[in-house]
Amino acid sequence: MKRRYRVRITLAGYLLVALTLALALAAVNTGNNLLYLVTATFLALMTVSGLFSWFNLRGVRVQLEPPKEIFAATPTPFRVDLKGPLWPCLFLTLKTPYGKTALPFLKRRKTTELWLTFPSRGSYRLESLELSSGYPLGFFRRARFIPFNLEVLVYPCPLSGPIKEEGVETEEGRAREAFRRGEPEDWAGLEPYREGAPLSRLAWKSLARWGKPQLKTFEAPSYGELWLDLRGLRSEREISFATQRILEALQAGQKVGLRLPKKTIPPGSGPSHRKILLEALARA
Amino acid sequence: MPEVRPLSWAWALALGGVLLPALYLFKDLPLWSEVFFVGGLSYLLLKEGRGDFKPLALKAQLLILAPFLGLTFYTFTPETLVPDLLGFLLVLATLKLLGERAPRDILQLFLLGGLFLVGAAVWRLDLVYGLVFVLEVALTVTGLFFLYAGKEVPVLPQRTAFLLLALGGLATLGVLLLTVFYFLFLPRPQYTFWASSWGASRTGLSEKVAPGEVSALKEDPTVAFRVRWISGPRPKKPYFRVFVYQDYRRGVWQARSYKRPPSHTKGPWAWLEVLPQIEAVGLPVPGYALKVKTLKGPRAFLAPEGTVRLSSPGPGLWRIKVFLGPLPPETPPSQFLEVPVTLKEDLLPLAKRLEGGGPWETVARVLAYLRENYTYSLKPGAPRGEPVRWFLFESHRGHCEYFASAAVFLLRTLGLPARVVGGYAGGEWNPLGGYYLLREKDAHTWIEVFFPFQGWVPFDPTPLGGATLKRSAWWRSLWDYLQFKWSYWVITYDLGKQLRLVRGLSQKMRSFSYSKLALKGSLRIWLGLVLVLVLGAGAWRAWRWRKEPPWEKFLRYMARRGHPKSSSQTFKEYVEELACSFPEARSLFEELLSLYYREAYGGEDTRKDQKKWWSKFKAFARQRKF
Repeated sequence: MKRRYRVRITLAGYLLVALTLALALAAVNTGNNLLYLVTATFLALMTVSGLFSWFNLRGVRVQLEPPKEIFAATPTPFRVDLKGPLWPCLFLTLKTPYGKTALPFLKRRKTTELWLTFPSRGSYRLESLELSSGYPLGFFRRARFIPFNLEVLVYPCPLSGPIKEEGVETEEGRAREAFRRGEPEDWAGLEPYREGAPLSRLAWKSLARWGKPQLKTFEAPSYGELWLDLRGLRSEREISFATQRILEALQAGQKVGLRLPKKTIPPGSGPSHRKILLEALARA
Repeated sequence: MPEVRPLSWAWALALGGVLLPALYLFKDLPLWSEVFFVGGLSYLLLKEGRGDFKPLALKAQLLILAPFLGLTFYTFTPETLVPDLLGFLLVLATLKLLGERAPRDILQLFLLGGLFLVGAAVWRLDLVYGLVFVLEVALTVTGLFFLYAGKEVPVLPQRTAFLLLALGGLATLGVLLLTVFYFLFLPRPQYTFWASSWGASRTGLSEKVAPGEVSALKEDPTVAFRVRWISGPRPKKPYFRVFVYQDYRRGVWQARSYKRPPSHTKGPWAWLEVLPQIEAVGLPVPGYALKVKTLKGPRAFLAPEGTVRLSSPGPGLWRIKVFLGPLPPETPPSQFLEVPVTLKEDLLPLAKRLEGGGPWETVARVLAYLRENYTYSLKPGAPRGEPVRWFLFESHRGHCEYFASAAVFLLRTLGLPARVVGGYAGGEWNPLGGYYLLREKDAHTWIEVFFPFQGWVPFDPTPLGGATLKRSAWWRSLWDYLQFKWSYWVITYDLGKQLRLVRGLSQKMRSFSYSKLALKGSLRIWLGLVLVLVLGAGAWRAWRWRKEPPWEKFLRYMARRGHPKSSSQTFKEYVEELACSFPEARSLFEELLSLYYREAYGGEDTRKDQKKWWSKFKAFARQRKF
C-alpha cells in the first residue's frame, strides 16, 4: 500500500518562514550568534512541528462503511471506524471530495460518522480518504491519503412532483383497503436515516440506544399495483420525481413495476424489490 | 469532567511570553514605554478583577499607538535605535493585551514576544539571555499548542488540556535539542558585512602606569579574563603578567612594545587559552610566553620580556605556551638600573640603610621595610611633587603601584636590576571549567628582580597584596562556569570553532573501534536492559504473528490494500465482493471461505491447511502485485 503525504503551509506558517529567512540573513551579515540562536530555534520549531504532525497521522487506520441507501444531494452518514496508535492523535480531519468530519481526540479506537453529500445519482468511487491535521502549531497542514477503493451507488434524489404512472387497482386490493381504512399502519422495521425525513418517523429509542439515527418504516398490505413508465423520460428532475413516487408507493404497500428504456422490472414490494428499483433508477 | 478554554490558556501564555523579555530588558527600554506598559497591565488586572473588562477596539488601538510612533521617530538616534524600537513594540504589545483575544491577536502577541527576543539578542549578550530564551521557547511552544487547539475546539476536557501541556513540554525539549544542533551546524561565514557590537568594557590596565593617579580598578568586580589551563603544572599563587614597565618619565611608567621571535627554554611549561571579557591590548601570561597562536580575533604576538600583545583590542581566543620557571633575561639587565637623578639623591641614604649581605638579603630587607613602615591604601590622596618621593618620605600610604615603584628604585639605587610588572594577581580557580577567573579588582602591580644565573624572580612588596587564590561558593563557580560556556560556545562561536568541532567529530568517528568500547558497569546494565526489551518486543510480535489465524492475516492484508471488510458484512459476503473485484483469484478466495467455515462451524482444525493456503495466496499476490 502506498502512503502519500502532503504538507501545505498556512498563513502563519508563511510568516514563520519569512521571519526565519530574515533572521538568518541578519545573522549571516552581522555574525551575531544570538541571532543565529533564534534562527536555529525557528528551524527547530519547524522540524518539531513536522515530526509531531507526522506521528499524529502515522498509525491511524480508517475503515469506512457506507449506509444501505445513499440518495443524491442528501447528506448521508457513513460509519467510520478509526484505530489509533499507542499515542493519542489530536485534531484530525477526515475528508473526501463529498464531505468531511472533525475528530478532536483519538486514542486507540473510535467510531464516528462522516456525512457525505453526493451531487448526483450514479456510481462513485472513493479512491482515497484524506486524513489531515494542522496539529501541533498550525503553521503547516499535513495530510495523509489513505487508499480506499470503495464503490458506492447513489440513488436519485427523491423529489415530489408529477410523474406519468399507470395504477392498476385489483379486486383484492379494494377489499383490503376497505378493511384497513381507519386502522394504523403495521410496523415493518427500521431504515437508514435520510436528511429531510419527518421527525415523527425518527426512531428515538433506537437513536438513544445505538446513537445512530434511523427511520421507522411501516408497511401497509398491498392493495394495488403501480407501473411507472420511464421510457420516454430523460431529465434528472423527472427521475427524482419517479424515485419519490416509488418510495411513497412502496411505503403505502403498493406493488411497483418499472419500465425503463432497456429494462422492465415487474411489480413487486419489500426491501429487496425496493433495492432493485432504486439501483435501476440510479443506473438509468 | 471540568473543561478549559484553550484560547484563554494560550492568551495567558502569550502574556508570559511578552512579560518575560520585557522584564529582562526593563532597564534598557525607554521610560515612556515602561510607564505605558505598567499602566496598561494595571488597568487590565483591575478590570479583569472586577469582571467588566471590555477589549479595546482596533481603531482606538491605532489612535493610541500613533503618538508613540511619532515619539519613537522624534527621539530616534542610531545609538538608541534598538531600545527605542523595543519600547515601541512594548507599547504595541500592551495595546494587544488590552484588545481582542481572537486567535489572530494571540498569535501576534507570540510574534511580539519573539521580536523582543530578537531585540534582546542585539542588545544583551549575557547568560541571563540564555535563561530568558529557554523560558520564552517553553512559553511560546506550549502556547502555540493551545492556540491551535483553541482554533479547532472552543473547550477542551481538563485531561486533554493537561495532555497538551505535557506535549508542549516535550516539544519544547525537542525544539531546544534541535536548536543546539542547528546552532552548531548552521554555516558560519568567515567575514560579515557588519560586525556586531563587542559590548565589552575597556580594561583599566594599560601600557602606562602612573602611581600618582587614583585607580578604581581594585573595587571593580567585572570579569576581565578567563584563562583556561589546557596542560602542564598549575601554579598555586599565579601572577599573570600583562606589561613589563621599563621606562620611567615624570612619574609615569611606560612599557615598550615590539615583536620578538618565539624562544625555547628548558624547564616546566604549560599550554593555556585566554578568553577576554574586556577590550585589552595585552594578554595575561602566568610566566614567560614562548609561543602564541591566534585561534580567533585580532592577531597576538610575542612582546618584550615574555609578555603577549594584541594587534588591536577585540574579542578573540588565543592559545599560549608558557614557561613557568624563573624568567629568562631578554633585554640586558643593566637597562633596568636607571633611577631619576633627582630621586636617586634622596633614596641613597635609605637604600644604604637597607642593604644586606647579598642580593637576596637586600631584596628581603627592602620588602620588609616597605611592608612594616607603609600602609596600603586605595585612596592615598594626590601626591605633591615626585610621586615615589612623596610616598616614601611624606604620605607613607599608597597602593600597589607606589609600593612597586618604591621597591624598584630602592633596589636599583643599590645596583640590583629591578622592574615593575603589571597584570593580575591570584584570581579565582574554577574547578568545573578548569580555568582562572581574573576580575578587574585582581589587577595588580609587583616587581621582578634579576639574579645572575637565575633570571628574573617576582616579588610582591605590597602588604597583604600577594597573589592569593580565592575560593568561591559552589553556586558562584557553577554560575561563572555556565557564563564561561555561554561566552565560549554561544557568544564567540564562529567558523574556526565550527571547523574544529567538525574535525574533532570526524576524527572521533574515524578512530572509533568497537574493541575499544569499554562500557562501564551501569551503562552495560542499561544497554542490556534495552536490548532485552527490544528483543522481547520483537519476539512477542513474532509470536503474535505466528499465533494469528491465516484468515485474520488475510483480512489485515486486504484492509491495508484498501479492501477492508465492513463490520456489517459476513465473511462470505466479503469474499464474494473480493471475488467480483479480483475474478482471477475467485477459486483462492472460495477455498479460504471453505476452510474458514469448516473450522468456525464444523469444529474442524484447518489451521495447517490455512497456513498452506496463506503461502499460496502470498505467492499469488506477489505475482499479480496486488
